[in-house]
Amino acid sequence: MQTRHAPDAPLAPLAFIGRSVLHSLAQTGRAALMLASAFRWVMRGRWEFRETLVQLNRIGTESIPIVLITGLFAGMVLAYQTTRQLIGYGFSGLAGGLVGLSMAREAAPVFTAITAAGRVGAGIAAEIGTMAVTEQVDALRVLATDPIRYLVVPRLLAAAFALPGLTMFANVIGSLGGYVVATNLGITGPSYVSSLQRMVWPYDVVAGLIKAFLFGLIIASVGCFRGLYASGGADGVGRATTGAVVSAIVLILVFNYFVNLIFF
Amino acid sequence: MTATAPSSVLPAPSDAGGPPPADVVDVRDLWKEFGGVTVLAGVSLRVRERQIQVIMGPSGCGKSVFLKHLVGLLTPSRGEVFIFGQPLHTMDEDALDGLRMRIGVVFQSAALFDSLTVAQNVAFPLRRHRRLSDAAVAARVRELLDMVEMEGTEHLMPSALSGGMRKRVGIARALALDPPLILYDEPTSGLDPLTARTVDDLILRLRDTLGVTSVVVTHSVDSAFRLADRLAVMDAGRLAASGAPGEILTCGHPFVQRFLDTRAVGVSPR
Repeated sequence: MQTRHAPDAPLAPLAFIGRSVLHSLAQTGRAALMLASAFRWVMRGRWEFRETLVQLNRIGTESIPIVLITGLFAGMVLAYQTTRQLIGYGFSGLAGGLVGLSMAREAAPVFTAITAAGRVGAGIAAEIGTMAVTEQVDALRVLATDPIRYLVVPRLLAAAFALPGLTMFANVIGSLGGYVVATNLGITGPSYVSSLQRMVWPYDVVAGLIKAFLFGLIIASVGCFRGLYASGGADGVGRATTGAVVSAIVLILVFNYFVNLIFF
Repeated sequence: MTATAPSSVLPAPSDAGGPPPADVVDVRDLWKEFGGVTVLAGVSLRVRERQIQVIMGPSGCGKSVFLKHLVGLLTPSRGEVFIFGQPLHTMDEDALDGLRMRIGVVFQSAALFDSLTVAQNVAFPLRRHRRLSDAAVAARVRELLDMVEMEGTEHLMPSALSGGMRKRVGIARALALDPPLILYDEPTSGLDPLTARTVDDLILRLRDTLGVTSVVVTHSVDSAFRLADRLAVMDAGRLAASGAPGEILTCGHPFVQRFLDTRAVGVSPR
């Protein structure tokens, strides 16, 4: 029997869209409140220093090996494609500069952020999500400890400061990998280094690092948010973790475009 | 008794001689809805100092939701919650934190922090809210673990503990700040009868030795009658009956009678 509140069949898609929009707005509102609360704790200077250092180690130091690998291969593949094309058109002297520029502006911050979204964002969502579904977040609250202050702020700060550092590692190792590939394809070492010095300005590197800072904030805030609102046991934690990675990657790519419009 | 309670709710016993003990918990006409579903429908309950108030009922009747309102984990859709005379339902988070330091909560799952050892779990509230030296914290942790008969487990991780051990460490953590009120959410669920008895004895000992006021939510009839100074039976978000355990046993409410028919043989009115 159809109830009074059930929409007519032709209106069902509209009802679905309406529900989705309302859900998205509610989620956006919750995320904004979480970030506002985290910002307030930061402004009040009430940082969990020890917890922030622990997270800095987990998010930053422990990510170095994977970032070195992705950065190295990103630089190598860029050099491979770029150098072959440039040699074909007779512009081989530009290889080092183009690889360095691509790494500093795009490849290093974006690849590092995507790698971190998979490793760090998933870890944050799984850890906090497990705490949420096993009442540990409630336990924090009844022990007069705000979960935003204790869980979210340290991860936000750690990710925001770790990502630029990781990106710098990717920049260096990517350029070195590019050097090896380009010289193997026939570019001379001095030519590669000279074009790198000529074309890559400190501004390009700093802009890339600022992007990495923003990506760090995105990864940690999405991971924390998905984790805090996880529900429904192991299944809920699994969905929160997957959602955190997917949402973070999408947001990184979207933000990357708009930040590029500002910086370059 | 309470204004909105159903007819089967029994009057509280009068206290002959001396002023009546203060109400530690005073809940008035509490309603809670989740997405249009009413979970609590006008619950009123008062708990006096140094008493163990047990709230008994089947799974899903709203007991745990009720308990979460007593510590501000949930906000009422309607109604008022006073703890130590303070209106918890109107407080902001900062004021709530001040009040929460006077309330201990033992969760159904114990809710120990997975990443911390037993000692670090018990020390957590001390390190955050008391300025004590490391030695003083360690001594207090030992004292609390002795109290719950968990001495020697300081270095263990929660994952290495059995269900009963986790519950006892949860109680030790809840006691760390010497709260005058402790809330227990299904303290004996999932435990074997012997361990359940140990946890029950611990709750009774805390009342007798420290004068702690307790609110215990359980679906175990056996535990309920062993612990309760006052007993309330909840059904579908309402209190079906409330009174002394002996009064509950003789109350004629059909749901209460049906629920009590499941009780263990040998339970007698107090």
